[in-house]
Amino acid sequence: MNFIAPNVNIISVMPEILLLLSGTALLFFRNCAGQGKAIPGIASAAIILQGLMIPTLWGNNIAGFNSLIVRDNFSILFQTMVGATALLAVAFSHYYLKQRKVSEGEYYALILYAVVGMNVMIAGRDLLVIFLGMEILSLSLYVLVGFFRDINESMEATVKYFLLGAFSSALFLLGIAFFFGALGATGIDNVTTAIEQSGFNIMLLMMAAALLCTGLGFKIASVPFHMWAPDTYEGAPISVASLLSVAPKIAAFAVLLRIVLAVSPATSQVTSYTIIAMAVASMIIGNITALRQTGLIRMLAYSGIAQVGFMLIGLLSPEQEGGPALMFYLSMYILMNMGAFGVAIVFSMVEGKRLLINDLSGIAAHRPFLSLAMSIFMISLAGIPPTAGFFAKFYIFKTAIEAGYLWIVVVAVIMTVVSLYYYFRVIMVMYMSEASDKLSTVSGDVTVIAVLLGVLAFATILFGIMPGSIIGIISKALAFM
Amino acid sequence: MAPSLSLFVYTLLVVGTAVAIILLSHFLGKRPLTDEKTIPYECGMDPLDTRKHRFSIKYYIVALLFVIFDVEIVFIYLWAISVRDMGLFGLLEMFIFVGILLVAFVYAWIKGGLTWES
Amino acid sequence: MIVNIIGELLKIIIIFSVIMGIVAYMTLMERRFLGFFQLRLGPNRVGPGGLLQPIADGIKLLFKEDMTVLHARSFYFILAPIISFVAVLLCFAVIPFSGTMYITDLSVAVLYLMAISSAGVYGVLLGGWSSNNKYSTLGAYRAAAQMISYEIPMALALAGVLILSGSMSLVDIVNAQKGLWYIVMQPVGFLIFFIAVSAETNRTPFDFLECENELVAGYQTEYSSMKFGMFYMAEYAHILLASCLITVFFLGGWNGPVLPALVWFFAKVFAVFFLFVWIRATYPRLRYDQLMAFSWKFLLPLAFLNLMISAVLVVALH
Repeated sequence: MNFIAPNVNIISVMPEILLLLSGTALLFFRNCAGQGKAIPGIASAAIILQGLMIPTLWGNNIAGFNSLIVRDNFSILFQTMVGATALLAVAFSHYYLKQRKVSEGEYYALILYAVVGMNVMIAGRDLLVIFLGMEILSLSLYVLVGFFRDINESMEATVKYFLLGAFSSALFLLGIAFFFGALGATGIDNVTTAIEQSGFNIMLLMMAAALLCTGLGFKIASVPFHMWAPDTYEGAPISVASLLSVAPKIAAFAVLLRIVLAVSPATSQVTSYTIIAMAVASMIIGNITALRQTGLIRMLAYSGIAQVGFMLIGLLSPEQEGGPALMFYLSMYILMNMGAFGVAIVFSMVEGKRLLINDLSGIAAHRPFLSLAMSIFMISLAGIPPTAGFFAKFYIFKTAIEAGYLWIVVVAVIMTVVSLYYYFRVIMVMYMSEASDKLSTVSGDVTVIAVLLGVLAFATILFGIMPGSIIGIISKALAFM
Repeated sequence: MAPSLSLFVYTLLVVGTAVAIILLSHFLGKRPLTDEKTIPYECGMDPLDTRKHRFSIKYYIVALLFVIFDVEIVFIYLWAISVRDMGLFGLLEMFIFVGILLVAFVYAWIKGGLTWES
Repeated sequence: MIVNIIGELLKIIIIFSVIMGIVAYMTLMERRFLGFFQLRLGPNRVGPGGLLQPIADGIKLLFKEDMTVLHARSFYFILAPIISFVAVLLCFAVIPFSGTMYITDLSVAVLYLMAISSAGVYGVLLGGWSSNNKYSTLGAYRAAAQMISYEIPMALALAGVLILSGSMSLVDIVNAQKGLWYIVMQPVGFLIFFIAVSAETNRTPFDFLECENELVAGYQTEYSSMKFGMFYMAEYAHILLASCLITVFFLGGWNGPVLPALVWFFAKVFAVFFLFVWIRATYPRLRYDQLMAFSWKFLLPLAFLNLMISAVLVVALH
């Protein structure tokens, strides 16, 4: 028997190995005195280190494991975005957990594992590898959401998330089976070769695309797969909710972009109809439901669903400008959404219970800088110039019009106007209402988190004025398309 | 005869015997004379509660650990019969694989998953 | 062609009958041996030297009251002994009693053994759970946890044998031991396998399945008539299976000088069986937490160590 060793190329997964090793080391840390800062320190160091490693692979298209994993510029950019999000989440978590005095080792280890899962999802070129990454991510998040076992809401959130998540994973797996049935292989690149030889079953491929979209639609929380999001965000620790509301979306959009790019020439209009339906439904249902919310986190959850609707528009013309527009939107979404959740974390430090929008009333008088930052994030999420959110929306609408989807843009603009109401209500409550005593005394050391929020707010405005640099990087990353 | 066919015949034989024994005892054996005889045994007293038992979470943890290790053993078997051909590469791969597993094992140990008294 | 098929069928029936016969007389052997160990005679009244005792037992059980407990889940209640019985006896399909005397020689025989024999846990678990009895349920939980815990070291010890043989077929494994028995090359593996297999068969000192002074009779409490008889047969068939497996994997199977293969094989099997009885007569029962700790905290790491060292040595010497 001749044995041929597979072409592993360990360099291609060095960042993930680093994350795994440091995560595993964290598992064995106990929350003794004196280690309070060491654990998040190690976690952030690991994320920063892998974040530094990833760009060194830029432009090399390093492939590993017989090309099951390929680190092209596309995946490097997405992975950097995931890393940045995770770093912010670690910083937020430190402040969130310090108040609650829990054992932290496992918490940060799970965040690192989640990053590994997302990296694998993004860099995977084979649906099975992508599924593997998705499961690493999901399993970590299921535990993180229910990390505080003694809080009922948290348990409810994690059970909902777990059951629905497991179900959507199963659908994704079924999609892989159909994909295999259509093409006889599970590699995404196989679609292109199959189209050239015209040797595939179109019905099976469409079924596959639909099922894969279902699985990923759950991860990005787009309508009709969004039902878990509000309850889960609200029940989860807010630091986890911040990660949950941004990072998996980045990874899932990377996979969606790859799949849509590969599949859409074969399935003609069907994929775009699916995406249009998801996008329009997300925009309408997300925005309109957000109007009625009283809880801050719940409002942010529905706003996230609406934002996903806007992002999905970018998938309609992926091979033209849609891809870069989507990536730009995602990177700006990190800034504003993480910022909004960061402010929520600072406020939640005092109030242990559910944070209502009305709890913020009159906070501007006591916390002028936090309120200013929150206002900037809200304005940006609403899409008003001169913030980054405006340019992101503008860019994505422009691509849709160029691709001939004018009516969708009309819907999107109307929905943007609707969204002004609930985003501005937060600002109005903070500045115009009578001061309530509830949040007037934010205690604890918030220096680092305040600096981070300041940077985020500054960046939100900066990239709104000068988006050119980011777009330049993105178009370089997508040059291969 | 093909190996699978012999196996099939043997399976039929065994299952048939098992069912035959049950049926035989069903027809040959007596019926219970009184209803009291069919009450579950509890040292001569009437049973205190029904079968809605709670059981220790430890059994669940053992079952979970078992699933992890049992699945891994399937991989180890395939590796074991071909380790000569794979040489050093196979050895390293398995060391990494088992190493990852042992980390999980040690973690479960430290967390008290393997201890029965609490 | 036809002759061939009839020959194969005859072989299957003969092997099956022989196994059943041995199982029946193993009960007598054990009782008599235990009697001698405890300085008494054991059953010796039915027939010469008690030789007809197993048959008498069987007939008695057949005519006993066939009870189903009040509120039991009767389907599973009846299914459980069948599962136990079938799971053990199916394993004999791959045991080679000699170079030609076997039902089938699967190329994945070891995997087959692991798969089929672990199905026996369902018999125990379903039997205890469906009985609607506290003692049964408790006994079933304990026994199931114990059986799955010891299955892992057992399987890992077997992996050491597989490294040496390079094949999962039992015939190949026995043939590979023509020169040197694997007990010499895998002494630690043999010890682990022996301990684990006695726990799998629920023999003293691991007989938590019955645990008569705590749990009445464990999962069998509510069973009577031939349903009990089938559990009983399954238990002894399991012991026979364990003896056969130890013979095949570590004691060179049918290999041996001068005497015919079958004689060697069964001589080894009965030697191992006698060892099992000896241990039963000698050792008291462990405590349950000690039992679980022994498997997870001692046998499992030891089995991993044994496996890795064997692999390194095999690769280095190859």
